[in-house]
Amino acid sequence: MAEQPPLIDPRRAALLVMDYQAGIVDSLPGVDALLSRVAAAIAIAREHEVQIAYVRVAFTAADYAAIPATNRSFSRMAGRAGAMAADAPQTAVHSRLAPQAGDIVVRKTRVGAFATTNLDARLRDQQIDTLLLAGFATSGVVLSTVRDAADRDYRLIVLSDACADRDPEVHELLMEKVFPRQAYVIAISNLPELLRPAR
Amino acid sequence: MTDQLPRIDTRYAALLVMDYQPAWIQTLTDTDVLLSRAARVIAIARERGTQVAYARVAFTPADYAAVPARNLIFNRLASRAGALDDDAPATAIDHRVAPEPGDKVVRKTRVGAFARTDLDEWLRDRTIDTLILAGISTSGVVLSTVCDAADRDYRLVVLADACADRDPEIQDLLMHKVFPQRAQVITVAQLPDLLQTAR
Repeated sequence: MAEQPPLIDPRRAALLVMDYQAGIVDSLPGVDALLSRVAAAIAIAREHEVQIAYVRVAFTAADYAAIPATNRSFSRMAGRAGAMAADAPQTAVHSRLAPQAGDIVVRKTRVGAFATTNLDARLRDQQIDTLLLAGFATSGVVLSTVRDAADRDYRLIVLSDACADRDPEVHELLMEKVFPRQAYVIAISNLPELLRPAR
Repeated sequence: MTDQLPRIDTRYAALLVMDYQPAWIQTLTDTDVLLSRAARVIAIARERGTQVAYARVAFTPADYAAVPARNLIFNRLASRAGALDDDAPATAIDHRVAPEPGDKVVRKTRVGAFARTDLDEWLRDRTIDTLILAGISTSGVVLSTVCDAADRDYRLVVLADACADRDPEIQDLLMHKVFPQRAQVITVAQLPDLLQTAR
């Protein structure tokens, strides 16, 4: 997209760090570099006093039981009961990106960050209207969250190198052709210059 | 798509015909073939007693005013004043796939078919848990609706050749790599065999 991303008022923005959990990303090739980049994005956000919100996927026994067979992604997963248990260390936010006091942390049981969470209400309570997105996978939580958040009227900035997918072709096409209709897609290195308090 | 194709109980299924409006049809080529396939699907659904529901994009003056500038996709559309007026010919459902009495028609002002509409409630009131999707465009209403409906636990069947996109690369990637995470992707020709009417 030729369009320049707008300046971002840090007080009205939140960085969403989505599904960065050991059980999900540790088996990825290149995970160390990916986690370092996401950590850098979080550090930039903290420095500018941008709200950080973590989203993790994890299930209680009741959550597993509540997944109907009609849900294609999750009914498959229910067979591996326990793999994503809410209290398992594997489903905690990754230790290299650990939340701090004042951060928002929500637990979800579907793909998108808004489905099954109170994230939307918590962001609106703080008058946040701009979301910076980092997540794994690009075709999973990032895609579902972009589509949903756009229809909820958030201004969206996708941090392309703070997102990844097992399929690089899918990652690239979503970043280059699909997300730009609804979001500004930028690299983490472009973020600091955009974060400016409104006068 | 190596899985076995699902049987669809016609009593609990709905065909969603989304954004088949001149405003979007005119962005495509080979639309006669597309429209005749869509008309055929609708005829099959009617014959088998499957509910048909339509979504269309259209705005009243108040709706335009309610789209904030930070909503990128609609901010761009809103600059073409009047193009998506509720009473403009461009927003009427194409006559070749026109609704009939007893069909559900929702008017929407965002991308996804569920965003700010009563479609979800209407479907649940009829205990419909399976959606058969046809729409324009694949990377617009179809993508947003697939993501949202999956997290709402609907069983999803996407009719690949009753969905279209200006960009064939995007159409191909979504149908082959992105939608199969959340939906069964089939062709119109495969549908009749899958629809099972209860005895």
